[in-house]
Order: sequence, then structure tokens, then C-alpha cells
Amino acid sequence: MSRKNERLVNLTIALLATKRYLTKNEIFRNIEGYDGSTESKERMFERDKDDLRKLGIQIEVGGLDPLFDDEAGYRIRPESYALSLRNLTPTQVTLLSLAAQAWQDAAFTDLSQQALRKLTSIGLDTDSSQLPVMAPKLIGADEKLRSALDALTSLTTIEFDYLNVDGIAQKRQLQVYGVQARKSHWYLIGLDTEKSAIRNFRVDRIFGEVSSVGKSQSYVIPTNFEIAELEPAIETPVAVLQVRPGAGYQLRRMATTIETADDWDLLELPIFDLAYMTSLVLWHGDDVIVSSPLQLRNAVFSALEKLVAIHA
Amino acid sequence: MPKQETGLARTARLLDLVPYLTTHQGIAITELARTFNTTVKEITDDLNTLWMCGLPGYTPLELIDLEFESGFVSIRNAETLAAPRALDRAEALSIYMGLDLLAAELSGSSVSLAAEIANLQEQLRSHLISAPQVQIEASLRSEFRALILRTIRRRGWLEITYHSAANDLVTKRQVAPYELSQSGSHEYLQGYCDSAKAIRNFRADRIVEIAEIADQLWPSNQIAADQEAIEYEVRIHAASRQVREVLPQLSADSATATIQGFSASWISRAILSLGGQVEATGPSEIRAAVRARAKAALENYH
Repeated sequence: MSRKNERLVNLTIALLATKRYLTKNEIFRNIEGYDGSTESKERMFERDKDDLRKLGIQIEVGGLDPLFDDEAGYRIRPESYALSLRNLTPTQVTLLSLAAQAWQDAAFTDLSQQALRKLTSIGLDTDSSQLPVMAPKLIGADEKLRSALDALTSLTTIEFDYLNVDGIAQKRQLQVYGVQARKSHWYLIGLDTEKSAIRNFRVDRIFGEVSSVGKSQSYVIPTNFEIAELEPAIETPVAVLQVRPGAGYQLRRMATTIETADDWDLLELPIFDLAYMTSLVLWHGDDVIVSSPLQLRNAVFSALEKLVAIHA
Repeated sequence: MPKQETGLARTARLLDLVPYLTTHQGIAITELARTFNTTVKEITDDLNTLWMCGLPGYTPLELIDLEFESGFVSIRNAETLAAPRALDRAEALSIYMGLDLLAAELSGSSVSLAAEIANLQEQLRSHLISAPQVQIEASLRSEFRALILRTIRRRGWLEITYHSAANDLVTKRQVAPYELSQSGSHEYLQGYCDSAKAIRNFRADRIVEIAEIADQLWPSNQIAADQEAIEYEVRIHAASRQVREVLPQLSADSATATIQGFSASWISRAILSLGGQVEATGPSEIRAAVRARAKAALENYH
């Protein structure tokens, strides 16, 4: 294993250092570690190229010289090999390191630490004087999210059991386009391949494991895809609620307008999800009355009637 | 979780060691092992391997020159590998998301920092094949978390302004924080609450404001979590996803269950919020409280 590692490092060095394309024969002749018959050398080299590509190293093929036999040559361009973040200010270096720290004990710990080592290898100074004291942390980023993020970076379709509103687990297939952390929950957004529509899934509603289906690079994220557009911002219905003064703290935080009065304050707030808004109103009992829309008023009213009936 | 190291991970480490050593000449082997999250033995093996690598020719002129017998590592003649490798897509994504969180946790408090973060994200986007869409909302402001962690370390006190959903009240409490922990999707602050004279849990996203309190004595006589559990029984009329999420203790297919709660007010509000999907069957006080609340709310519409 160590010999193979050594050969891969030597191959990387040689392909990086060369100004022109190196042919396979030159590689076999000059780079240490290629032994055996021609076939076994060839096999070794094919595997080595694959391995380096798996590490994200781009090997360029080219240099076909018409004057000689058309043997392909190989090289690695230093500009594609090296980290391309440029002109980082000390404050930016600090921000990057804080960004990596946010994954502590979470799904991407190893990757963010690896990224951080590369960044600190630039050897730049850090400067935290411009920053408040921060301790960022990504909450709830678990193995399921990790699987989904791996799928997102490798563009691999995933499959999982998902709890629907009726509490039943159903198998779903998703091409992940994006992720979102909202209201303390992680969401995956992407193409539900069976429904052929964009859907979002709350990660903690995934039952069991996330598994991958098929090969990597099996889809592309549409260039016009925007998470922000999924926000039902434009045509969100507005709830008008009467709330007792001093009550409904959470509703007040969500409200777009608050009109105070003696008996009841009048709040307007967007309804992103009717079922959620219904249960939020119910949570507040007689501290809240729905003025409009009728749909919400009816939902709350009939839920209350049912509650009274079953608790009679 | 550290995964089983593959041969390829080792190759990656070898390649990444060179630029790191180049900018950290004279680093102690022990520190190097810690930085690369591995053992001194592994790192020493790595250094021994690197020592055999170099440009074709492989004479001392071409080989990487490493010095590490003293326990401190220096490197020479490794210019070809001296630039740190580009971030791969997953690494770039991890940093990209971390930056998104930073921006959210700063919540617009600094325009210039927001611009620096946006600039970094722009640069990172080129490492991602098709810019994946990420949007992160912070559950607790970063300064608050830093203040809590610092206070835990120096055994100090905080005054937190907290919204209790069960009582629908925002109150100020003096708290000696013990721990900041995660459970499910939420982060919780656990501490000794001076108003309750007992240990309490506070959900981080319901903390409205935090301030440090100077010179209050660390509670010597910590009374254990004295909140009496209230046992109550329910009948499930519809085992919907919402029901399972509000009452995660429910078992999958049983129509009735006995659950423990900690606040009568929380229990009746929770049953109310489920709008008749769950019935409180006992004890009679809880059942009566649910009925009374529902009736009072219904009165509002008559």
C-alpha cells in the first residue's frame, strides 16, 4: 500500500512539474514504481489515473504530435491542481476557519477539517479583530444529511422512506438540488423523480437510511433553479388574527403588522402552511380569534368543536 | 465519525502534508498528527514515504528533503507540491454552508462582514459543479452561543430572556448554564434556574436575549431536576405525522398510550394544537383542562 502511495505521489509530482505532455512510455521509464510486464504497467497506470481523478486531480490528456506516432501524453496543470482562492484578507481567512468549525461534531466534520487544513496551508495570517466572538454551529446535521450532501456533490439520485402527512412511510426518489435549514429543520429540495416535480423533504421525517440509486453524475441541476423562488412569498395568503394583549408571543414575532387596541390586538401574518397555522392558533386557545380567511377560521372552528365533543 | 482510512485517503494526506509543512516549518510531530487527526505513528510513516518521493531521477537533488528526527518537522525541495490542493466539491460545499450559517448568525449586524462572506462564497462557487442552492437559518445567534460557552467554562451566570411556549410568556431568568446540547433538531441550554431553584432546559431558538451577570455565586446546592413528571393517557384518533412529531414518545401502532409530560399547560396546549386527532383520556384534570380551553376558545366564535 505504501509503495502505491509513493507511486501516486511521484506521478503527481512528475505530471505537475512537466511543461509538456509526458507519454506513457516516458512515465513508465522515469517514474519510480512502474514494474512488471507492459500490460501490468498499463493496468497500474489506468488505476492510478482513476485514483488521482477520484481525489479531484484533473489529468489533462493531449499533445498528439502529428510528426511522431500519435501517442497521447499526460500532464496536470498547476492552476487546476492548486487552491484558487486568491487575495484572501486576514479577516476572510478567519471567516473560512469559523465556517469549517461550524461543522464540529456534525455531518461534514472530516471534510470541513480537510478543507481547513488546505486553507491554513496557504500560510496566511488570521485576524479576528473585525469579528464579534462567534461560535457557529450547524445543529441537527446528521448522517442522513451527510448522505444527502454527498449525493448533492456527486449528483447521485437518492432513495429513502419518507413519512407522509398521514404518518405512513413511503419510498421516495430524489435528485437533490439544494439544502435548506429553516426553523430548526433541514430540508432537501430537488426533483422527485416519480412525481417529476420539485419537492422538498424535511430530513428528520426520513425514516431509516438514505441510499443512493445508480451512478454518480446522473443528473444536472437546472441552471435556473433557485431555492428562493420556492418561498411562497408572492401569493401567500394573509391571516388576520385577534390576539389578547400580552399573549401570542410567537405569533407576534411572525406578524407583518400589529395594531394594538384595548381588548384585542390585530395581527396580520403570512400563512405558509394552513395546517401549521391552524395548530398554532389552536395552541393559543382562547387568546386568539381568527378573523380571516374563512378557510382558517373554519378549520380552527371545526377542530375546536371536535375537541369539545371528544372530551365531553 | 472517523471512517476507516482508505489507501486513497492516505495519498490525499501525503499530498496535503507537503503544503502544510511548507508553511509550518518546524512544527512538532505530535501537533502535526493532531492537526491531521491521526496518530504519531501514521504521520511518521507518511513522512518516511514522502522522503522517498520527488522528481524523476530520484537522486538527493530531486527528492523531497525532510528533517524530523528531532521530533520537529522541516521540509525542503518540495516546490512542485507546495501549493495547497484545490478544494474538492464536498469540501467546498462544507465551507460554503458554514459561511451561509455565519452570515445568518451575524444576522445583518455587519455590512462589511456580510460582503466578505458573499465574496468568499462567490469564489467557492467555482469549485462546485453546478452551484447547489443552500439557505441556512440560524437557530441561535453566534454571539449568544459564544457567550453561553464562555459562561459555562468560567462557571458564571447569565440573565436570559426566554419565551416559554407552554405559558406563552416572555420572562427574564437568572441561569447558571451547565451545558449546551443537541437533541433531535433542536439545541438546548441546560442550567440551574434561579427563579425556579432547579435545573431547567431552555430551547435555544426561544432565547430572545442574553446578558452576562457579574459575580453571582455558582449554585453550590444544586437541586436536581425537580419538575414532577405528569403522567397522562391519550387515545389516538389519527396517527398522523403531526401527531408523531408533537408526541414523539408514541409507539407506532397502539391506539392508546401513557405519556409523561412536565407541564400541565404544555400538555393541554399540545392536545389542543392537534385539533382532535388525539384525545386526553386521563387524568381527569388534564381532560377537563383540554375541554375548558377548547370551550373557551369556541365561545370566542359565538
